[in-house]
Amino acid sequence: MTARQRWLLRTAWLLTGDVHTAEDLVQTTLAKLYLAWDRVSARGVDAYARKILFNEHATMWRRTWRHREVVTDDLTGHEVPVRDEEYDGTRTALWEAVRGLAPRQRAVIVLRYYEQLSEAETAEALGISLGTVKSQANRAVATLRARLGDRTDLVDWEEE
Amino acid sequence: MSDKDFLGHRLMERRLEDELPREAELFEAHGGRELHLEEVLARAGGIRRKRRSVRGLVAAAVVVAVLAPAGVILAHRESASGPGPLVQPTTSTSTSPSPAPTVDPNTVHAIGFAALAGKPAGQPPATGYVDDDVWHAPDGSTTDQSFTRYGMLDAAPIGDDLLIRTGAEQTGDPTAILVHTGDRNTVAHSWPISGGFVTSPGGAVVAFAEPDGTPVVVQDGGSQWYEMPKVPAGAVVAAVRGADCKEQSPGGGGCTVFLNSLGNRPKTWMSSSHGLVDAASAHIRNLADVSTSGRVAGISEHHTDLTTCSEVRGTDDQLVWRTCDNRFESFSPDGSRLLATNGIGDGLGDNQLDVFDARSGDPVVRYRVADGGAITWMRWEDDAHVLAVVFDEGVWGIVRVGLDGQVEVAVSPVKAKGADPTNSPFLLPQ
Repeated sequence: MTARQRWLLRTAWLLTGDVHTAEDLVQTTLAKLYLAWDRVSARGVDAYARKILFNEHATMWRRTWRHREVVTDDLTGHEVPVRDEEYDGTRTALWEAVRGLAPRQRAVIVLRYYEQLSEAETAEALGISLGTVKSQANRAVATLRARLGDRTDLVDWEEE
Repeated sequence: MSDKDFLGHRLMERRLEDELPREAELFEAHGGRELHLEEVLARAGGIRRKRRSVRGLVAAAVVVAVLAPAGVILAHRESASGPGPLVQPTTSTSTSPSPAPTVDPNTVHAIGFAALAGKPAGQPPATGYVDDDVWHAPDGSTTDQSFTRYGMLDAAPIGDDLLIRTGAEQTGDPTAILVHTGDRNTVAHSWPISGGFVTSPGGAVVAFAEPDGTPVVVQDGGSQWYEMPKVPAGAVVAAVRGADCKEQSPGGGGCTVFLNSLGNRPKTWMSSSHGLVDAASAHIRNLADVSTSGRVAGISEHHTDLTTCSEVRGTDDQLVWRTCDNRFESFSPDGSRLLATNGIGDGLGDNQLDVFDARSGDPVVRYRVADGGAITWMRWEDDAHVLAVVFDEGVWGIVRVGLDGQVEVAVSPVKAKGADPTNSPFLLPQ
């Protein structure tokens, strides 16, 4: 469970941009995976877990904001400020811009560029059409470009 | 796409591929932690308990469907410890307030579109509603708000104008915009927003909070807005009471905005137009609503397995009654009833709609959506009716449920648009 949990927590963190919400999301995902364990084939566990995670995220977003969960008092160590050297200005700006994307667009971005899923796999994971994946990804990238500009100095094209 | 555009697009894709993995590795640096097996199992237990209760209800619904002709109410009870029988919905023909309900409060009424098919729809919601980014005002007029790039996440009418929660055009940050609907959708003003809107009983005042903790009230049909005394940053509104927030107005009285600070140390706040800021309750951690008589209702305990306990407290903060089976939503306009939903919030979507006597905690009426369905929005239409946005059997619709156990369609169900069935086209104003 540990390896799978690490992966899910990181994906959830990118998806939500909030430590509490990411942990909450993964807790529910693992709980549902546990309850469905008998029905999930060994090969399909990751895909199933991913599907639960993204479905849960969509449901969370849909739920009335007034129902946002209140975390318990006994959780400690959250919201630790990250040391300045962890960031340069560019990454902060990109991460903030990604966090500002609409939830559906952020989900597509995380699956396509972090999880490295194909457009078809992304469509399957989110339960949306291939066309929607393409349009959402294009729109998200366009939004990020509009907010951040094109920085050609950040990519070493010799590597390609 | 031009060469320059193509290059810019690819560059951004490369930046995302490079930098998202680096950001992901900073999860622990931001205070993230590994989950313990016990936490996961506790949550699984909560989900299992909820599913079991829903399955029991669905099984009962199937029995009813087989045994009873449509529209016939079964009068038998299940075991004393279990839920009451599910009954087929009967249709209401009026939205006018009804006298005291005569329904058996132990009977659980089913909300389902299949059972309502073929029956005449009732009046559209008297509150107005949003369908696919089109605002349907109570007078029947419509206003297309799809010009907002991020869509309408929340709406609150104020006079002839409309407050919309959406994303800022450039940044996508949560934003409240005040739209003059009668004037070609002119945006009169915009504010950054944290959380959503609340409206005073009668609709004279709409309130929301800015991210820095400043409550903002909009009144006089959208022509006036005021900032209220600040509370801690990040708080979100729970209720607003009072019909005029202008301190020196001839009507006097002022108004009070109630808010919740979330996070590790949840706390409730009240910010009054008299300049006072104080805790709203020493015992409630997340306010759901405040009645016109000053009763407060909300979550008092929240456990790791997602179960909650909620309380109603009086003006002196003394306990009136409590439950660990429901979370509270809102008081009826006259304050005599309290709308509630599932006690466990596990992300499945709520499937319960319960109404209690606000003073005693006695159940008044109980409704359920079958497994696989959800109620995503509910609010009072008047003192005797509740409107609910319901997902059932792959379709979305708005139903009107009465304190008398009667159900009718207020907005006809439509199939979910796109391939994502969880995307509701409907919103009810706050």
